[in-house]
Amino acid sequence: MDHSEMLGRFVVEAGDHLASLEADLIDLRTGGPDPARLHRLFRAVHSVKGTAGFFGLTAVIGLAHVMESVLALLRDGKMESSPALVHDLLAATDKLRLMVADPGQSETVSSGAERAVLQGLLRHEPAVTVARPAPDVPANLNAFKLDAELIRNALGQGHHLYIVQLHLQADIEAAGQTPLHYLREAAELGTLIDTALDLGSVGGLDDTAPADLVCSILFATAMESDLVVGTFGIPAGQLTPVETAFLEDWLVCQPTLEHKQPVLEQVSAPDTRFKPEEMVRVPVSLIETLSSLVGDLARGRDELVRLTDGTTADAALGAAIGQLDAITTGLQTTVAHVRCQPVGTLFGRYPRVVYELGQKLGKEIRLETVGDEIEVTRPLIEGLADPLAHLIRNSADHGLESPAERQKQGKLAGGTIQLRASLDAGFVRIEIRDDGRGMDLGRIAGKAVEKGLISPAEAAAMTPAEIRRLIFAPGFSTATEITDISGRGYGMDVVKTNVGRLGGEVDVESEPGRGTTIIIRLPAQPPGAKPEAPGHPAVAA
Amino acid sequence: MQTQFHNNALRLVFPGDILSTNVAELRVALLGHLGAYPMAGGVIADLGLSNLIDSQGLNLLVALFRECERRQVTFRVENPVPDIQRLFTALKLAERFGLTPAPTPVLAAT
Repeated sequence: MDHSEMLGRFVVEAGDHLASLEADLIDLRTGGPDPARLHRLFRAVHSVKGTAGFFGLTAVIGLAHVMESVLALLRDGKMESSPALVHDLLAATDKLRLMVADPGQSETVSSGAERAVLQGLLRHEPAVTVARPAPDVPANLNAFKLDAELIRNALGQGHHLYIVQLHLQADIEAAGQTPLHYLREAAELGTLIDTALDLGSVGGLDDTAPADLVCSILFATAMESDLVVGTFGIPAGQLTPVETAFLEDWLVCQPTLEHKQPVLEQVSAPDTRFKPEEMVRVPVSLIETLSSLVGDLARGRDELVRLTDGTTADAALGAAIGQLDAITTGLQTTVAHVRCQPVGTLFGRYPRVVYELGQKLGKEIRLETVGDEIEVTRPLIEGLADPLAHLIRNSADHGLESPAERQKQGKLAGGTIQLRASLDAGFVRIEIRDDGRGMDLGRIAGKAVEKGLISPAEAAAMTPAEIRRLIFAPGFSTATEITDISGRGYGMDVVKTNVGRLGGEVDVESEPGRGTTIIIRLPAQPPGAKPEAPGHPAVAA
Repeated sequence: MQTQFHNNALRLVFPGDILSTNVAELRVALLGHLGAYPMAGGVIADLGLSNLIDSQGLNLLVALFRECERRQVTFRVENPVPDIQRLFTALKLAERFGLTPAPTPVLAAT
């Protein structure tokens, strides 16, 4: 992997970390100091900083470091979360995002204000002296001499620690290198804290088939494990990450330690949401090309079956066609799955939107998502992005009451917007629910008459459902004030049009005082898309 | 391979680099010399002529060390060039091989 590839990978991975960071910061504001969330927050910034260190991105490192310091205080219970703190961390996250999006220009992104604000918070934090018994050293570290200074420095730079097992012949000699050259190269990529050679595996001189000497290295580096494996050219099984949590505890117990700054970083609790080592990133265009080729293959198969009329006297040809059919169907199924993404990737775009809306509108808004795991095709994800954003803005602006109004009605001051996905007989159903004031049917009908969309007689004859659907009429709006949030009166029409382009329908349910639900029902496959193979979750009947 | 027997110690002078291409030959020679001096109380591996050691070469030296352990005779390395000394230090073999610590950083970038 060359430098530009690694940098490209950093951009993608840092983007993921920052997305996770943003979502967790917003949850922190509404959900409180959940330890797992605080660990994830810390870990996200820590990872960005660590890899940025590998590439020498000093602006990223500087900003990430101060964020990390604040998050460490939060994590360790030495600082309390507040809406203002979340706001400051989000502002810093925005700057980090700008920096990592274009690492070459990261130094030109101004982040002085964000850093100053966060550093101001750190200055008020007293140093804390911690006294506790030294933790037991894990068995796999017993062979090493743990140098506190080296480890502290490495962790202070955001580095990860690994135990790397090197087989002198299988890994080093096979790479055409001498041990010294190999170790020197490793030393340029991180810090060799200690080594351990398994001498017991080697017999005496009369051993004509001597065992391959195994050298274990305690290695600190900014690189993530997959990069270490690739750089060392070793199987993944020969790399063992060292729990930073242990190292932090261990360092605290070293007699010479006395930090004013939180030098140590702790690895968060395992995040089981996905396993990076089991995933691979490929460009969407490549998947679309693959999908297209599979479609062509399927058409070729169909043509072949048609030409042979589905039967042939030639047994070998019949068997070959049968095999081709099975393989093609398997490919279709696999590609259909590859082309899908969990709808959570779409829902994950809105926590920040909702947070900003709440800030602007002076409302407390909680975003809930249900059915994140439902898989839909990428065109649906992209096609729904704008309509959902508009519907969320509408719910926040028009649906949810102000905190005072809600409390007057005996509701919680904070409102909830829920995004819910489900599968329904080959259709994907997306609901945008709010627990706000609900729709005022009289007002909607009056507005429609006033705007000349319907006559008073038509309004009188309409069912409640028909009146509710008037909000999707072009030019309809009940908002008395046009805002930059949601209101010029054409949004719901555009939503309906865009959903229609995806082959879907939109409907609305509402109950006065209880809230409103917009329902989008879409075929799992948008119009014009090649049919997916049966059995896929998004198209299952 | 030249040998010297002095003060009850057998000095084995390695003739050059210790590489996969010659370890088999060296292994036979070492066994022969150790067999010729069963009364030796110590073995000295003189690496003054060796500039390079590869993985199998290192394995051979470790095997020699282990052989001496088995025979209950002392073992030490003498005259290693700086790079080889660094390698031994990096792998924590220097002390086992009776070498003093390297005066310079173990794995300073070249």
